Amino acid sequence: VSYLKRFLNSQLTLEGKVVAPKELQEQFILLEKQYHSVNLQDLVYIIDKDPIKMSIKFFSILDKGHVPCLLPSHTTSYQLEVIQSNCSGHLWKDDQFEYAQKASTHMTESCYAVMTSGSTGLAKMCFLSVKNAFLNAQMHCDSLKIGKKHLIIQYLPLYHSFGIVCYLFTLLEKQCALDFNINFLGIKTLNKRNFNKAVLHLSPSQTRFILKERADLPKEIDIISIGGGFIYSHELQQLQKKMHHQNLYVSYGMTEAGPRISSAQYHSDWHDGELGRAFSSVQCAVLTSEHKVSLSGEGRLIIKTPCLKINTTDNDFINDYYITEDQVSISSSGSITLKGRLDDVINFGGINIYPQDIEAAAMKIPQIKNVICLKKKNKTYGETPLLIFTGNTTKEKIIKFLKERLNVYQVPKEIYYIEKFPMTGLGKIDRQKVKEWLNEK
Amino acid sequence: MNEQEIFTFIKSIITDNEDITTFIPNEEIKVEHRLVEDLGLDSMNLMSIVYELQEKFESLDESGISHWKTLLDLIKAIQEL
Repeated sequence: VSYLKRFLNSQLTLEGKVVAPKELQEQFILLEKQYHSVNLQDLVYIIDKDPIKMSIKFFSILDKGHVPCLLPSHTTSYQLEVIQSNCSGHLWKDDQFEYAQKASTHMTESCYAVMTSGSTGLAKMCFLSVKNAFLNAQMHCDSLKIGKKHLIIQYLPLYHSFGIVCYLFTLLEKQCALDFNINFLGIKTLNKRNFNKAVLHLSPSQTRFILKERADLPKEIDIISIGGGFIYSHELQQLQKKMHHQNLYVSYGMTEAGPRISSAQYHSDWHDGELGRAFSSVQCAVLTSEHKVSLSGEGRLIIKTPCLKINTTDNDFINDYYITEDQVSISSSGSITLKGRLDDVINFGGINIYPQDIEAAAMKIPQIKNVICLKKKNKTYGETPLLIFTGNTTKEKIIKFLKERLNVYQVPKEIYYIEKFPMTGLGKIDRQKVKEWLNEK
Repeated sequence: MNEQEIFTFIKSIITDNEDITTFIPNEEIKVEHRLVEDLGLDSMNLMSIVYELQEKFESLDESGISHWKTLLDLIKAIQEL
């Protein structure tokens, strides 16, 4: 049975309103007219504001033997240019199918592609097998006890590796129901919706939003899973108080892992960073400070990745393990505890923002001589980007320029001018001294 | 409330919420500014603004977030209640 057919026969709602199978079929027929025949295994980028159309395109491209890659609807033309120069592909954007003379990928099995980092120069494309996506969806559902009678409420991005597996492939795997949403829903809005049993995936920032709301979560939501960033035990405790009989989980994963690694159910003596044991499909170990691979202990998390292809270098691997950015400790029983992340990545509410992406885009402003991007603590989002520059321009001009090239959340809202950057002996900007300057300021 | 009063009220909500930062300083915000592209608000920011507004304008429907492009659209939705 084709993936698309299974999707079209699913129980789907859009912002709480039922989408009839006939309506879906009509949308599919209209979309099929836009499709341009391309070679097998060609990469096809998909951009669509409408999550249902985006999903139809995704499964239809998979069925045809091509490799779909979902991109956010706010992808700018500049970002597209960079993405295409890194990994060329056809583009199915809204109602247009743009044929590319040369599209990449030479995969031997059914797969989809996911962009894992920022999209302005350091984009990393992962090719993940569909077979593994189903396996990962199944493990994710089993650990959270998601069943056929559940409605999964979607509002975390569909184009993430998380969204593809935990919404789209889960829907096909479990034959449950899926509610697509364009915007985030607070408790107040959730209480207006009608459903019997529902699952909610939340990012840490969304959890913090919900914690601020006075109302309790509807009792029909019986599973809540939080992932995509660090969540403190006191926040989990507060959330548990707002819930009736829900099961609360902390989920952990990353694109290269296909993408889920573990889910741990919240309990009363929870410690910060607890992630539970890894699913059987993902092998985890640590890279110690002595640069040794160990199945337990403290160090950088390394994983045997089910990824078919990643545009990485040999330095990213050790003994076939992919070296991640996360610092963890693994107990002798295999329980993982997250200790932190490598310093420079900005975790904006679960989305990784790479300072280099912002710096690379800002350096394209002719009046800017030098620039660095740092992170700033934010109560809701965890961290937000902040920019410091030398050169003859203004904050307003920088924001205008960056907005045309980056996603909105990547554009720093705080920008500072510095007359001269402190430099290290090696001629690099001394980030530590800049941080001190900023603190004084 | 007239357009100017609602506009001032929305701006005060933005200023008072420590989690919301806009691309444009509060005193330079205009009614024609787009919520996402010009001010840099995301759906969580918008939801908290609407929830605050609902304290005063109970029947304001938050599902409008998908349709309101500018501050003026939001102001008009409030005036039409």
